[in-house]
Amino acid sequence: MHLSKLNSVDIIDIGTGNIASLCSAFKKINVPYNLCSEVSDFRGGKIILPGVGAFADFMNKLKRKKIDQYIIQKSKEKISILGVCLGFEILFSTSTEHRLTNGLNLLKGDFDIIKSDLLIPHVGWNHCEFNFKRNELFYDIENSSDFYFTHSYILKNYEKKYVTAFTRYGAKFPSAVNKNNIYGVQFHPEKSQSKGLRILKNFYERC
Amino acid sequence: MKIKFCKNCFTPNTRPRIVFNNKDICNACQNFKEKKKTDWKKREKEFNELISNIKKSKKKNKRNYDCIIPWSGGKDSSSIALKLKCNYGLNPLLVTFSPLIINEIGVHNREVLLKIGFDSIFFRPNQKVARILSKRFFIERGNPKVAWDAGINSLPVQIAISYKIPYIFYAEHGESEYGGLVLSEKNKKLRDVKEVIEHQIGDYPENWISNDISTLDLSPYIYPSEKVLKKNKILAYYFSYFFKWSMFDNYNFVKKYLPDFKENPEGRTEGTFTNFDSLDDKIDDLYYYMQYIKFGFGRATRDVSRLIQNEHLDRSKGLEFIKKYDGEYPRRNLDEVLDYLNLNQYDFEEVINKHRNLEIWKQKQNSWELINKL
Amino acid sequence: MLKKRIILVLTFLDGVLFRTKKFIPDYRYTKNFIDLWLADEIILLDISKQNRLSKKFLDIVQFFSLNCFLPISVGGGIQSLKDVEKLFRQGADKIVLNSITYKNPSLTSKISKVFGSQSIIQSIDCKKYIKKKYKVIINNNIDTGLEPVKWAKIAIENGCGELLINSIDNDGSLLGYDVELINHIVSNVRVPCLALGGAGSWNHFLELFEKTQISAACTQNIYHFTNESLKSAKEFLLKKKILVRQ
Repeated sequence: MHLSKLNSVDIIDIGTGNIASLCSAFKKINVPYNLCSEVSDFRGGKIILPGVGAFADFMNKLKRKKIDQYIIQKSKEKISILGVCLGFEILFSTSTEHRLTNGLNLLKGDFDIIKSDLLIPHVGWNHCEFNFKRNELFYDIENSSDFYFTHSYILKNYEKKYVTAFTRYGAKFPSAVNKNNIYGVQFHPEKSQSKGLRILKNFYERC
Repeated sequence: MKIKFCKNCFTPNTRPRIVFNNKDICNACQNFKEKKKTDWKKREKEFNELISNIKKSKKKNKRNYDCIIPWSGGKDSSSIALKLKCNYGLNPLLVTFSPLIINEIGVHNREVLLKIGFDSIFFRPNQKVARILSKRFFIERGNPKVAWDAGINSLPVQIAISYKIPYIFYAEHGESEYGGLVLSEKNKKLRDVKEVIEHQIGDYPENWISNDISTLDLSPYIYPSEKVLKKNKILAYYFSYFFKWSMFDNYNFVKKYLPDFKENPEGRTEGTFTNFDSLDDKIDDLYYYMQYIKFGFGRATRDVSRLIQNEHLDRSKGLEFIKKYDGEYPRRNLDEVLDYLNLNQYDFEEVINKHRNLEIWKQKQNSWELINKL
Repeated sequence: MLKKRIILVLTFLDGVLFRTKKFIPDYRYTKNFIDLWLADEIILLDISKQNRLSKKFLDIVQFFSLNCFLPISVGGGIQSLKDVEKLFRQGADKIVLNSITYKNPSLTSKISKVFGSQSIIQSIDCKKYIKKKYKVIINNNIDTGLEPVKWAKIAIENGCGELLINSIDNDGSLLGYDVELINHIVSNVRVPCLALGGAGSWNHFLELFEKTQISAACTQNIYHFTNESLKSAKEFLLKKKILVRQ
């Protein structure tokens, strides 16, 4: 097993939304975690980038704490990173939420609002279909498993080779990605019952 | 929640749907006061009119039976059967939904009444299904008789529809007699199906389908739809609306006219001081014991409260009985019950403890104690 | 494909689980046999007469958030951004707003700017007053004079992400949802809607999903809170071609 298994995961906590569920999820699967609201809090383990709320606001908070730079640096050092929901969105290039804002640009892609003839937000259980073969993040998880989504923006202009799963809401959109050590899921694993817990466990043990 | 006991009959406010007034008297006791004020002569007149309508209707429709009586063979339903036949000249059809675990005394007492001259239908449902449901609801709700409750509600009505007998006489209106929620005054006279679903079962038997149980398997438990009831003009009355209800009076009445009617051959019934109430199902001891576990009052309290309300027992004696017998462990029929539920004693105990309301129980080392005692 | 959701709604009076009928708490439950594996979401509402969002209730929120890995929405007397922050810290994923939107609609937009509109469910309690006409009631008995769709649009404008349509008349009746009310609102808004009030048999869920475009069926019926029940309900719905999560 990886040396990093001995380390706790570093969960970025800058005050947006509910970190508590994520923490109890890690507790449930016996994975030690460490909450980081300053760069000095990080211990060098795998990084969890959760996020709820608005893209621009979240990016600002990350920038203010210089955590955005920390993430980019660690990604170059091949530390594994998992972006969840809004955390997934900011891994990419831009989002049009409120105003055009830049993300971390670790992967190419832009977020735009879901087509307006559908109900917004996309909220509820929807299934993920694997792109190519099953990714390590989805180890031991059946194809077309349901996960809990809650978002209004979806990814466009992406590079298909990094997409590990698609979901359909009107059109198909990427619901999970993986580029080297960077992973991201549009859905909430900590809200997706046993399969979601499995995703977190897989990230810790296999990614 | 502050646990209170009715200042008159000792029933605690943990009983579902009970309501206490500002003097801490429960609605069953209040109902009794009303019963005293009731113009029973007027009610009897209403009853006589109803009976004559029933007879006319039977003649007109060329029926064999005037009415249906849901019948367990116990003192309450047997007293109604006797009165309707002997005092009012009706020809009732007695309908029994089988107890889960049939008791010999129930069989005996039923036969004693049938010897007087009644037709009866005894329905015992699919026991594979009945056992699954009994176990499921014992585990989920701490009540092994949920499905049976649905059955005794549904069967008389299903028979009424098949045999085209539109009149059904139930015994007492439980909600008003024993403390509960009365949806409307009219419901004390005529049985309201909505009230039944809500309070006694709280659920639709159709929802009990699973891999082992199909909708067809559930047909004995499913209440006919409101549409069907209206079409068949089924009218179900409560005897307790027309005549002052008292289980003790019923018992004495039955004993007078059926000298062979037996009480509990073991003397006192487990969990209480009485020997004449609710004897036909061996699972009843467990049923009442679970009431004690969930709500903190057992069979003794139940019997005491009823007798006090109808002024057949004084309060100090009642309190003595409660202290002595309430919550007695259902040991007598335990083996048969465990077999019926397909549980070993260890798992059985686990289920019981799972249903202890922690607002009223506290654990003391290896045993449990009620926090509020009388 | 996005699945239809079955959501369990638990109402607490002074920290005790209660059933309500026409919004009046009448029946206490014990929460021992609530089995949450097959539920799609949970809504916890504080219906205490005074002192809402008390420590007792917050402990309950925490209990659920620690023990079930499902979206938990919490509401009942939310009055301020502080209340909202408190609830998110306790483990809530979404909050349910009710009367405050009428009294202070700018709060909804404040919350939405900080936490996102998907974190807000607006509850609309509706009472029928004449045939096919409904009005929105707040605080159990205050008539706002507003028609539900109008109210819904105000809430949506201010940033709520979902609507919880509550039928006061059908609450606790076990006789089915108010399909008319639901269709009326759902056909006039562009956010996901949840229906509450009247769930009894699986046929009620079926009728709701077949006759309306609702996104989720909510139930407050304690007998639906067991794994066996939810499994039975979902299998029934799947057989009738309603897509639900298994």
